[in-house]
Amino acid sequence: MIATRPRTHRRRGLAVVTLLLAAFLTVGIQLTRLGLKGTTAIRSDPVETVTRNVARPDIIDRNGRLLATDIALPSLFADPRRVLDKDEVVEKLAGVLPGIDQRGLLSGLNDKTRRFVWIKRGMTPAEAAKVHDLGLPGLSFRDELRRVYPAGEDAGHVLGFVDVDNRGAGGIERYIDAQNLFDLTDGAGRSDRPPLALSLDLAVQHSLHAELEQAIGDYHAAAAAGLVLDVQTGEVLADVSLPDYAAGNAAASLESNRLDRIEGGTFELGSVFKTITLAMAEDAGVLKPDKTYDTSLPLQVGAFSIDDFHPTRRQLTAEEVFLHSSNIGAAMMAEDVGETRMHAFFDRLGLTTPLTTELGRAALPQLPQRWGKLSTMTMSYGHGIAVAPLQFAAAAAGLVLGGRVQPTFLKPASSAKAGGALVAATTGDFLRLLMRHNVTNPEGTGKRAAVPGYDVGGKTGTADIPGKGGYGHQGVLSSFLAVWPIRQPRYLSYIMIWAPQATEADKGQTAAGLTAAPVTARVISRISPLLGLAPVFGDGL
Amino acid sequence: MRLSRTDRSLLAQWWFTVDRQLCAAILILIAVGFMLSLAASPAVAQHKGLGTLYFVKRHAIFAIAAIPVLLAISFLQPAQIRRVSLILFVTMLALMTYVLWTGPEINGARRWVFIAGQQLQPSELMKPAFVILSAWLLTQSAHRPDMPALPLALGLYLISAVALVLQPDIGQTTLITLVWAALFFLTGQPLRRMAILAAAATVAIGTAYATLPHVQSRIDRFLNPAAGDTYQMDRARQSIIEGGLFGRGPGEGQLKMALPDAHTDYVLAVIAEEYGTLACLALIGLFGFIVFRALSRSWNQPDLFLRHAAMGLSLLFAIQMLINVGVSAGLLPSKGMTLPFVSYGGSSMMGVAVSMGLLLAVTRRRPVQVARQEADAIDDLRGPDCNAMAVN
Repeated sequence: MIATRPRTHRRRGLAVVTLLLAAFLTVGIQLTRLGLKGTTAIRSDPVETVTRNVARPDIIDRNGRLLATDIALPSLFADPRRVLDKDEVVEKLAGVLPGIDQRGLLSGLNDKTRRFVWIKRGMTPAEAAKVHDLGLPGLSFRDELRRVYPAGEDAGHVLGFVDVDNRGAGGIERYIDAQNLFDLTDGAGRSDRPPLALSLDLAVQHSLHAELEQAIGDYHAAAAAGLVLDVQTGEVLADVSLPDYAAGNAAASLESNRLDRIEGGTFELGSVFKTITLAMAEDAGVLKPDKTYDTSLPLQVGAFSIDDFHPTRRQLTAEEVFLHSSNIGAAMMAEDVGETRMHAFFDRLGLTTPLTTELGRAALPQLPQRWGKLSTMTMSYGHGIAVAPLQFAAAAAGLVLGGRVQPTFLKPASSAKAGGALVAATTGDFLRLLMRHNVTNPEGTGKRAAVPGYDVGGKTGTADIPGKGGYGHQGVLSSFLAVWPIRQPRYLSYIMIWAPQATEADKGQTAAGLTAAPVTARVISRISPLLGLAPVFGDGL
Repeated sequence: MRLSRTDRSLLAQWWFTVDRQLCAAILILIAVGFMLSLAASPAVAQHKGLGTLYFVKRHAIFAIAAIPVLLAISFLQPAQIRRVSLILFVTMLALMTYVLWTGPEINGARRWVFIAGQQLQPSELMKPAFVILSAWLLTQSAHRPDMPALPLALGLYLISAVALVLQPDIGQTTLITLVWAALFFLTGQPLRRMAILAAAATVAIGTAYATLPHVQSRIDRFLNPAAGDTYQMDRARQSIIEGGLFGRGPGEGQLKMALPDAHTDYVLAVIAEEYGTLACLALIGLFGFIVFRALSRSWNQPDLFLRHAAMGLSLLFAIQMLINVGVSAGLLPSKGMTLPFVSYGGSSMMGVAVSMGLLLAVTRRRPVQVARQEADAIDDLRGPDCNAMAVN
């Protein structure tokens, strides 16, 4: 007989209930275990790109004129999942936005795993209105900050450019990023940081730009560059390298001919280096009042022969060596100073170590592999050594001032005279006198740089441009170093013209005295009033 | 309206005999289930390109329709219960057979029939009827060896199991097997018979594993997660962990965006992610209250059919819930089992409403004379020794 007694029912009922309870407990414990493991910390899986705008501070010149600012512009994007007809979208957009990458857009819209595809970053409100009026579903706009340069035509190399995300990628824009002077914002709100004031003076910059463009036209030159430095503070007031590019034009910056010749390239600068040689010789005490240098014959150094550009073929005093820009005389002075002392002097001037400014590290100086006798001699007239023009200008400013000058692109200058005394005060006086005589003396190579009332002192440099197979086929690099007023040095300019052609403007000669010197005179007479420098008429030094 | 105990109306009798706490708990569960379904349904509906509130609206309609079904069934008397169950079972079994030939294949299974534009899963409505009939036949077999009740009970089980396996629906097969085995055990069948059946079941499962790739893949995946795609299970488990005890907050969950079954099979994981595991434990507590309330209520039930019917229905309800939660919590292989009243699904909702209506009906308090009357009626079939026990 089958068990039917209540006791059996109860026992079996109890067994089932016990099992059921155990099952409930197991599930409950498992859930509790998982719950205790968990953190309530929010972990987000963003389904679309989070836009973060890079809000950059405005950039202004030393007088507060706006050089760069952010504006909010609509950017177009698509949600591929909401796009109904990809081909229609591509076709219609191409009609409104010419030059759009149709193939790339189509492949982006085909990717259904994405919810966000940029179509065009930063467009004019008029363009945006046209796209909006197409009425295509799945497209949308988002305001983004874009960088604009209201006065960027004249200062592209200094201002630089930003990338598509408004991050600095060149020039002072990269400096802003390196120094973390930008803000990441979710909306398209502008930065509330104070504007970044540059040392540049927009008026001076524009004048220099215009004069250099003029010079390229006058002399059919390949390129031209120039800078104006406040020698007291090291502030760069103007910095032009032609051909240049408008600020923000990253594509043009990549063309090799548009490189920044002031900081980004090194050049053999030629006879302007004699300012260094004379100062070095004076500082080393090898210039005796009655000492003369025999330039009647080219100087033979081994198989190498050093000759003058404007041969005088006679005994020259130290000053005459400078005025006539005698390579023979300069080489003899360098030989008197000696290799060791010359190396040490160049070290002190900072010509042998990399120069770093807010724009980054300047091109590294190219120095002779060993400082032999021949090297010292060629370097005395600016060959066999190639430096960035800004580095040379800073060294020259240091010599006339007597202390080291660190160039800067910011105002106020982060560091004025960085180092202590560079040379004896008398050496500076001596050099300024030479430079002034070079302009005032009718025989001086720099006489065409004279500007009445501004006491200009300076030195020419005409260097053969090296090319394949040696010098002499690429033309010359004509440059002029000027300091004014020479009695109380305030400003220094350094103007360079690459490969000027013999034209009517330079009386058929391409030497610096007939090209770079008159351009310098025009620049000085144009910018000095802008800088608030009043002319002083009277006797010179 | 005031009801008096002297009132002999159907409503008054119902009011004083039904387990009002159990009834209230079921109604609360329906309401809570609707509220919790809001967590997952809108996201899934959007994902499937339906209106945001498509599932919510339909869930509401089913939930509201479930209440009269539940209450109407709870009015049934034991004899009516058996009759209704038999009709329901035969109808649904017929539909299930029909579906095997004509039904559309959805997710690799044929379990849906379309009636007047509405989808119906007959197996959901078959389950409660199956439990009632099994409880009756097994109870009879224990007490009336002269009747072929046991072979009938076995036949009932086999025909249901085969119908479900052919769909194939291994989850429901497991569910009815467990409930039928529990009833077999509860009705006092000899342990020897149980051993024979267990051995047969083992052979059957082995055969299913060997012949049905669907089953094989599911079992393999559970035993060796690296072997197959366990994305839904892993994701559900991860969401429960990320929800922690208190959840991320309503609407903050990510799981509902990721799983196509977030509103049905994995609704518990969605709830855990948004409201926390403590909320899940409370929900399971509510289920537990219903189940153990019904069990304790039927514990001393003198009518063995009612006792076993109540226990069978409670187990059906409890095991379905436990399997669903067990899958979400990573304890069991993926089964495709709904969480009663919480998961979206019209057939499931109706099936559970019928189950709970029957549970309310079989747990109604029966005054001694009613019980005696019925016991007398059964006595005619049963013999005197059983009568003594029934009055007990």
